[in-house]
Amino acid sequence: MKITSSNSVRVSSSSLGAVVAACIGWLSTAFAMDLRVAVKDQNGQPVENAVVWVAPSARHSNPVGREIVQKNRQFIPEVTIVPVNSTVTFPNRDTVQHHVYSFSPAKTFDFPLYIGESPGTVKLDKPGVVTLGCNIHDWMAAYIVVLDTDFYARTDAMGVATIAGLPSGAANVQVWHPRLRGSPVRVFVNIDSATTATEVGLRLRPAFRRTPPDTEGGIYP
Amino acid sequence: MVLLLLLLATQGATYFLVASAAESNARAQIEEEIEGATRIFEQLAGERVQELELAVRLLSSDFAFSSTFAKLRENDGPVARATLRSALQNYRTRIGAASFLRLISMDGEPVADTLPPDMAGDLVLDERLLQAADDSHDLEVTTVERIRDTLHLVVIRPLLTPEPSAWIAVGFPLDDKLASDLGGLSDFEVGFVHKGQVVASTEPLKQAESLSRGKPGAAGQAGQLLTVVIGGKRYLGKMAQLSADYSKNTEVLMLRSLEGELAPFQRLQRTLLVLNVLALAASGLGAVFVGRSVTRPVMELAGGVERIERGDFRTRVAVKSRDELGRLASAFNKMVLGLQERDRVRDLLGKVVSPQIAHELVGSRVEVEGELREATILFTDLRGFTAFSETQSPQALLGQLNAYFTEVTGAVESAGGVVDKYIGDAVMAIFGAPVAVSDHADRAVAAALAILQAEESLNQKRIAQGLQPLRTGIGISTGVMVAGNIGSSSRYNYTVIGNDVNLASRLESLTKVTRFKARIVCSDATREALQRLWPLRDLGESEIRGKEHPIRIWAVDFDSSGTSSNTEQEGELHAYGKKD
Repeated sequence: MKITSSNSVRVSSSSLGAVVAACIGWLSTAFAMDLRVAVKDQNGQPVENAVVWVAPSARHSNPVGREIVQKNRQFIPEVTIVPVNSTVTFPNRDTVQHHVYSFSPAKTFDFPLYIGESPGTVKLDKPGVVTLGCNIHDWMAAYIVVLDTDFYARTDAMGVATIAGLPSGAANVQVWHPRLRGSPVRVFVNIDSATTATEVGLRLRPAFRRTPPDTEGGIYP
Repeated sequence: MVLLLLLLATQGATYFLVASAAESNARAQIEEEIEGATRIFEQLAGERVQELELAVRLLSSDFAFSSTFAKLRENDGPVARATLRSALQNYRTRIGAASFLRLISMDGEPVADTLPPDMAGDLVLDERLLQAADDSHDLEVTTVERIRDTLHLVVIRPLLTPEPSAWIAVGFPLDDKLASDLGGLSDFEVGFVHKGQVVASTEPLKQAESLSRGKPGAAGQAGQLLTVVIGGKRYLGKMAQLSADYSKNTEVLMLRSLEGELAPFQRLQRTLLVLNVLALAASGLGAVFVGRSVTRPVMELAGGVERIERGDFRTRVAVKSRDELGRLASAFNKMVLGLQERDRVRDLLGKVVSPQIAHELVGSRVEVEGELREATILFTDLRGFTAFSETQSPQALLGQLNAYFTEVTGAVESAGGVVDKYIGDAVMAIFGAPVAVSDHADRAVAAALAILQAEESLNQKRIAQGLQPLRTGIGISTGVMVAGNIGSSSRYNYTVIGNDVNLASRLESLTKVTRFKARIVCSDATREALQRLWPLRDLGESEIRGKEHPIRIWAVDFDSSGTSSNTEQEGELHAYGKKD
C-alpha cells in the first residue's frame, strides 16, 4: 500500500546540470524558442491561475524571500511560485490570531496562534506544492509552488501561459492548479519551432470551499 | 311478507352504501393524514441524515486528526496505523451514533478501519462513490451499504488538510432503534426495506419480515399508498426514499394501523347498524299494522259475503273507518239490506216481481196476516191450447208458452198488477193487492187491453214464422176478497181467495160464447168500480155456474187499431159505461 499526497509533487533535480551548463554558450542560439500552453478543464473551459513549468532544468533563479499575508481571514496571495531554497514569512495583518500550518510532504510546519509579524521563516528546500491551512479558519487555504526550474508561467484569464527561451527538443511540461485532483499533470512536448503551442486538459474539483463570512460575528455583526 | 323483504333489501342496501361511503371517507382522511405525516417523516429522516453529515463534517476538518494522518504519511508503520485506528475509534465515541469509521486513501485503498478485520472485508465502497464525492460541490456523498444483516447509512467526505488528502467514511446503522426513534416521533410503524426485505423495523413490523421475504417488491412502489396485512392487522402507509444520494434499493416503509384509524368510523358503522335494525323493526311493525288494518276488514267482508251466500241476510259488517274500506263496508251493508228486502218480497209473494213493484210492495205496509180487500182479478186463458199443445214438441211448446207469458206478465206489471200464478196456459193477476189502489178496476181493464195488444204483435211474428196465431180470452171481476199469506208453515204464498176470484175464471169462459163476440168479459161490479171511460158493451144478464142468480156482464171491446182512445166512440162509451 502506498500513501500518496494529493497535492505534493516531487520534481527531480537534474544530475546533468554541470554538463548542461558547459553547453550553454554553444547552445545559446537554441534558447530562443517559446512554448504556448492552453489549459482547459474537463468542460473545455479555459483555466486561469494554473501553473505551467518545464522541469528539470539547469536554469533556475536564485532563492527569494516572499510574504504570504493573512488579511481579512484570507491568505494573500492564494498561489505563490518560488524557486527551491526560497524563504517565506507569514505576517498576520488581522485582528484575530491565526494558526498557519502545512502537512504537505514538500514542507511541514506549524505556527500556532499568533498575530502580527511571522513567528518564523520557512525555507522551502524541496520542490513541490506546499498547501497552507489555518487551524482556526477552515476556509483559509494558500499554495506555494516550489520549483527547481526557471521555466514557468501562470495562465491568464484566457487560460494561456507562455514560457519563453526554451531549448529545442523534448520538454517535460507539468501543469498544476489549486483545484486539481492528484499530482501535477505531465506532458512531453517536442519544442521544434519558434512558438510551439500545446493544450493541456485538467480534471478540476468543483469549488468546494465555503466562502468566508463577511464579518467576524457571522449573522450578528 | 314481500313488503318486509323489500324493506330488508332497501335497508341493507342503504346500510352498505352508507357504511362503504363512511369507510372510503375514512380512508381518504387517513390517506390525507398519511400524506402529511410522510412529509414530516421524510423531513425527520432527512434531518437525521444531516445530523450525521454534520458529525462527519466536523471530523473532516479536524486539525488533530489531520496531523495524526500527516504523521502516518511521513512515517508509515504499524504504530502509526494503530494510532490512526485508535484516533478513528476516538471519533466514533465522539459521534456516538456511528457504527464504524473508515479512512480511505485518495486512491481508494482502506488505510484504517474501526470495523473488526473479519467484517471489514464485507464493506467494499465502490470507487465510483468516491468519484461522485469528488465531483460534488461539497465533496460529500451518502450511500446505504449492507454489512451482513445490517444496513448502514454511510457518509463519505474528504479529510481536509486543508486539501482533500483522504476519504473518511462514517457508517450509521439503520437499525431497530433508529426505526423506533423515527416511529416514535412520527407516530408510524417504521421499517427499513432492502430489496423487498424488511431488515430493521419497529416491533409490529417484525412479523412483516417473513411476510415480504422472498417476495421482493411486494410491498409496493415508493410514493404510492399501500395497504399491507401484518399479523392479521391492516396497515396503510407508504414507501419513502431515504434521503441518501445512493439508496441502493433501500426504502423506508411507514405504516399506520388502519384499525386504529378506522376505530371511530367503525363505531359509527355499529351505530348505523343498530339504527338500521331498529328502523327495520319499526318498518316491520308498521307493515304488520297496515296489513292488518287492510286485511281484517277485507276478511270480514269476505266472511259477510259467504254468510249471505248461505242465505243469512241479517249479516252486517262493522263500519270502523271513513276510508275506502269503510265506504266499501257501508256499501256492502246497503247491498245486504236490498237483498234482504227482495228476499222478503219473494217470501211474501212466492213470485218474481219487478223491482219497482217489489219496492212498492216493501215500501207499503203489507198485511200478511190476512185482510178483506176490494180488488180486481184478471184471468186469461188461451183458446184451443190443448189441441195446439198436442201438435208441438214439449220444448217448442214451453218456449212459445214462455214467450206468451212474458208478454202477458209485462202487460200486467205495466198496468200495476201482480201476476199471482200461472195455471197451465192460464194466468191469474191481482190488482189492488197486496198494495191497495183506488183504480184497481181501471188498471185491470187497461192490462186486459194491453194483453190483447201485445198478443196482436206476437201473432204477427208467429204468422211470419209459420205458426198458428194465439187467441186469448180474459175475464175480469171485482169484489171484496181475503188477501194474505196462505200455505204451510214452511212454504206459503201471498194470494187472494173469494167468490170473485172464481168469477173471473168463469167470466173468462164466457168469451167462448160465440154470440157475445167478446174477448174480454167483466162483471157488473167491475164496471161499477171503473173510474175512467172504457169501450164497454152490455152483454145482459147471464147464468154463471156457482152463482145463485144470473149476473149482469159486460164486454170490453178490443179494437186492434184504435182501442179505448177512440174519441168518436166516446159518447157511446160513456153510454155503455157508468151512466147505465
